Amino acid sequence: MEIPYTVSARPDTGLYNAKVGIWLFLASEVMLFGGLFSSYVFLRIGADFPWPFHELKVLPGFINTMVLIASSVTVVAAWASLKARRYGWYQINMLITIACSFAFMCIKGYEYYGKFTHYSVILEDGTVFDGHPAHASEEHQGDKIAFTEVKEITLAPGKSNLHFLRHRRVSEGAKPFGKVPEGQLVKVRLPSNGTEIELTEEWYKGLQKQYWDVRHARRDLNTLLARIEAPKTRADDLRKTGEGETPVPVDFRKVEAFLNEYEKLKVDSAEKVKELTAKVKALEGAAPDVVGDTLKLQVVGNPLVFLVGEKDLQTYNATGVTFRDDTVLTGKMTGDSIPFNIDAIDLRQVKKPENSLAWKYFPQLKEAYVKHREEKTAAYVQKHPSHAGNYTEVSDWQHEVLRIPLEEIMPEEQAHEYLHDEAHSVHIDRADKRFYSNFSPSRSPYYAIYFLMTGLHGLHVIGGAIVLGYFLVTGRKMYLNNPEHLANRVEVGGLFWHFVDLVWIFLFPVFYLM
Amino acid sequence: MEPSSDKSHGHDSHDDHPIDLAKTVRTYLKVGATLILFTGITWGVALIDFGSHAANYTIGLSIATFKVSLVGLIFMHLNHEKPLIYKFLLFTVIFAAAMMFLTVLAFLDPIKARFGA
Amino acid sequence: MDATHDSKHADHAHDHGHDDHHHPGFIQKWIFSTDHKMIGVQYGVTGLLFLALGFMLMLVMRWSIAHPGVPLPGELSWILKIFGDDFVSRWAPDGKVSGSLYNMFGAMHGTIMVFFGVVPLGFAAFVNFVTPLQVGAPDMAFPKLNMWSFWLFFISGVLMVASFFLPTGAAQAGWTNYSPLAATIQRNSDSHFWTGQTQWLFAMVFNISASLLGAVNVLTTVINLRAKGLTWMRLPFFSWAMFTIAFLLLLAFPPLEVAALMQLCDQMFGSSFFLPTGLHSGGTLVDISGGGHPVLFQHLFWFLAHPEVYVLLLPGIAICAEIIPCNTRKPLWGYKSMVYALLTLAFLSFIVWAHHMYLTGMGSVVATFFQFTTVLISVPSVILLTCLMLSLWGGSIRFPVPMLFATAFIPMFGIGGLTGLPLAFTFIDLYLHDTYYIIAHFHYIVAPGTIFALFAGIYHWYPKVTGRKMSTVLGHLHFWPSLIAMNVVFAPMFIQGMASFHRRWYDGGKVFEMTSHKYFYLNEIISWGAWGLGLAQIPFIINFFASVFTGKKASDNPWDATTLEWNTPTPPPHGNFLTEQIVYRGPYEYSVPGADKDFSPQWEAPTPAEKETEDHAGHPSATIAERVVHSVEGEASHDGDVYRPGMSNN
Repeated sequence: MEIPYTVSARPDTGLYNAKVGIWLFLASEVMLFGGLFSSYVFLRIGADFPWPFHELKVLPGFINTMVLIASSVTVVAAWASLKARRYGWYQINMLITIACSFAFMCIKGYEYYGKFTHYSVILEDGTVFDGHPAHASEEHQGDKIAFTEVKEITLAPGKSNLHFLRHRRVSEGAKPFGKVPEGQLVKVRLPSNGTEIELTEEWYKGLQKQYWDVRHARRDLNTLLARIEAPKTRADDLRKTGEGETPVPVDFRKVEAFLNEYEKLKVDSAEKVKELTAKVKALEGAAPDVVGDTLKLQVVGNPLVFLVGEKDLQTYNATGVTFRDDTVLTGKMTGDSIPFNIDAIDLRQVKKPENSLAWKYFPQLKEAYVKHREEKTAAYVQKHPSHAGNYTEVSDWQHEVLRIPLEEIMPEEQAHEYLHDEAHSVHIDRADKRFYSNFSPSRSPYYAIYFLMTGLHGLHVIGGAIVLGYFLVTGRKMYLNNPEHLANRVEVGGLFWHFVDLVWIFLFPVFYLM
Repeated sequence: MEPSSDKSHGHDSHDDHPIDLAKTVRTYLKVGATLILFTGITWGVALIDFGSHAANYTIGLSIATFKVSLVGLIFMHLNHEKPLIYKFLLFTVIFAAAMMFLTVLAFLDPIKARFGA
Repeated sequence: MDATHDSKHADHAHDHGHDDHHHPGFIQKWIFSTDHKMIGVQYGVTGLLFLALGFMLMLVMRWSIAHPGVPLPGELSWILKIFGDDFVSRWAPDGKVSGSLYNMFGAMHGTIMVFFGVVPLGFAAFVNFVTPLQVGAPDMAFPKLNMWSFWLFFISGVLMVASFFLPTGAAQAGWTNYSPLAATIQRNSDSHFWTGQTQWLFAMVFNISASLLGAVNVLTTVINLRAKGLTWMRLPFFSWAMFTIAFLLLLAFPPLEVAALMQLCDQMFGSSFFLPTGLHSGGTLVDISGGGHPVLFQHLFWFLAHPEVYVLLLPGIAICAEIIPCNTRKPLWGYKSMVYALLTLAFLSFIVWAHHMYLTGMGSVVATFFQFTTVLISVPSVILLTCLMLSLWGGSIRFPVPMLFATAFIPMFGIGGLTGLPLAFTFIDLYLHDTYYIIAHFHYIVAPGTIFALFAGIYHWYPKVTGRKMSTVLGHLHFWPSLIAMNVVFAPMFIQGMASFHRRWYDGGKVFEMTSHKYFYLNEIISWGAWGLGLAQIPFIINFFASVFTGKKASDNPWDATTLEWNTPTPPPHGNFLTEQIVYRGPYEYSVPGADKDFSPQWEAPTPAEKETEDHAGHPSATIAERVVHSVEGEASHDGDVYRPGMSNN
């Protein structure tokens, strides 16, 4: 038997298989995006930070909406062309659809790029500077920490690897943080016997092997010792149940038996313990560097220089950094400030805006802010008289007054200088900084859900375009053989495409306009 | 290019309504134009303040819902679909709505509101 | 011209492209097979292997609970050794089960059992093998998609198991993987990609995608490929249940996919979907923006995971609904009420999820709502169980091995279900939440409940899959010890739970001053039960593999059953049926008055004698009743559901 209803409809349901399938799939897609929209609502209602609105440029989103609507028209026209057996029209319509998906993704890419190259620094008091790190040179890329005079490297062979070497730099003349030339290895002195070796993956692998060999031997010994101890532990535990708040009668004969077993085990296993101890000793003697859990290496020759992002570190202070894999570098932290150009100041999360850290870095702007606040507030109260008494509590007022794009308080050319001219950049103390991020998912739950939803939507666009493109490229043979089959396929692909359009119709107002 | 004739494979013999391409496509174009028009209206409406956030969002989302229904009814042929599909979608929409509203409802606590946390 | 005529043409056209399917090569037949039966077997074997793995992890945990601070004995330490030397040295450097190791095994035991053991075996394996046969279809509606579904699942399983070997170990935040613990526990590792937590999420994304593909396939098959005459109310309850489960998976899994993607985003891109402002970990402020909500994860997780509970248990009921009528030789009692109860249950299961979250501090309004729906959902559950129980009434019951397991399912599942009732109430749940009481409650449903039913199903359909029966002696050796051991394991947990033993204590409560010492001894008894349960599975493993070669040859319909899967050659060939199937009657027409044998298969037209009896007796079986309803306009309609030939004998 062959599978029925692949092309024609089953009489009682009136549907062919693929159509049942696609609608079921779309139902699950409704739940997928339903879950995402629910999350959006939940995050927005529960947000303990000012939820950004009107922060995305509307025009690209508007164009994208039109592009998708156009593609929806063409894809359904492509299906109608097939139904009318007009293959040429089908091809044209399908081609436009796929072109639209390209256009959509290009515009999306442009929008994403703008976000990824835009940064925020959130200060300890809640002040937010938007803008981007000053200087294009590598040493000043945002929150990177320059760490120099490194003379000691501490590895934990059980956990760490040599990936920290990626962050190593060399100073060459004018460039203090140049790339390490190919093949220039780090030379270190081993603590055990003072041998000098080069820090290579190969050497490290050997060391790790020794490390684990010792651990295996120790494990065998420790397990045996613990097994000998076990009856004693059990006896103790048993005795303990007779104490405390809810004591129970203790069977002391059992306790006795356990203790006897313990004594017997001790005697019986003495030989084996001796043997395993000797094995551990031998292995430790052969590899003294891995006896401890960490290994301190002294750098031979010039001290090393590192440039490392904060996100790669567990902790850092003036004299040492700890990488996420427990590698520790000892040296000196230099340049612990973030050079930054701004295009906006956000004071909404500051308790007293007039005392904000913003004025520590931009004292010259405070006057303009006060003027801006008074003007805007007057206008606001006039427009919303009901809020006259409590306007500071209203999110609209906060948004209009406390979030200050520079071009609102100064001429446009001057604002442009603040953003692009190094002379107007500030060096933000690392101690003042609470959080640093570009406008990527890490910036706030708003951007996280924006990227997740539009990203997933984008993946749907790409997936849909691939499937429709496949129908376009391979459709001719099927059309000649069984045009209804091709029409069905295009109908099913089209249904998916319309769903993608439909999701975007909600995404556009939700993210761009609200 | 024409496909093989009907007698070799009975493909569209069950199609009771042979399609009038020009007319159908004209309908689709009209719907497309309406959708674009209403996208513009959504943007325009977003610049106007209707008094409260709730009002602004309701109006914005109503227009979006109208657009979505057009896509669903005309482009996805939900204006004349088989009963089975309406059944699926009905339950899907109920569950999606339950998910959205019940999760948000978790923020509502009259006891806390009255007696403090 | 009508559609049937057209379909013949179209399908004929289709035929030519499929000739090569009849002579598949080795890889096409055994590995990348598109045949639903092979895929079912693949799911089944993989699922059983995962069940074994999950069980072994549990043995290690049970040792630690019973004998805290004592190294694993030789009888158990081989379980750790299969993970390799490095693994043991890293996680059990003195042979003892460390807290991290316990957490890892705990999280993976839950994950593996739920998502890689019971669902793939109970749903995917059985639905793939049985349902297309039972609805008279040649294969699933989308065979290629079906193959993809299995291989996506397989990849997810590989990722999940591989995560044990990462330097961070596998996930350690419980099978529920709650943030913020899930996001912070392995934050200090070199790569945020190669951590157990992240790989858990990746594996889940694959697993969910596989489930969605499978669900679409099952639904389409049942909707569109039912045999001629197989109306909805003639569909065997098994297929009804599988159809419903597929709906649950289809609509409940996407929110978990959302949650997994969001948590993945939190892990990999540093976002704060589920991480609140001011989150500290290990005494330091975590370098994130904050502003997210841990509770959101729980909502999304439980939106799936509650329907998932029914995905776990409905296959059990479905299998018993086939096996019980077959072995009592009388119709399923209340077939229609069971179907409606099933649909009600499925509907309600979507709006009870937050009863897992009473302790999150969510609002009292919503807690009350969920308390109400939770109590409500017990009604259809009770209907299902009652119908199964009443099906036994007055039957001339025979007890082959599958029937043993199926009958044991009823009380075991009953204990699990009834002990769940108090948990529906917020004020009781506050006390019992996260105690061993909960563990006992849901394990009674899944372990001696569902898994017993799955064993029943394996014994029942094994002859159809392999052409040979499994050994009855080994079956008894498997059943009786398992039944005893299961109860030794889980019954004492109720007592411990009410004495507030916490479910996540790796040392059984030893270090907690306030633990009630009185019930410590139960820790050891439970563990003895677990070792016993392990030994009891050995006859099954032998039986399962050896019977392929040594089992008694089975006929096409060895149990004298009535549904369509018994009308194929054994084992069924590619394409399943030799002729097109036509269904004449309901699924459970056993002992029909006037029939010449005690079962009247769906594929056999009513005999003149049956028609005779039907006219005179006025107590016809379900589908005959339907025919009567149509002809006599409702005269006998309401009785059709309740009065069955088997009943009327009493």
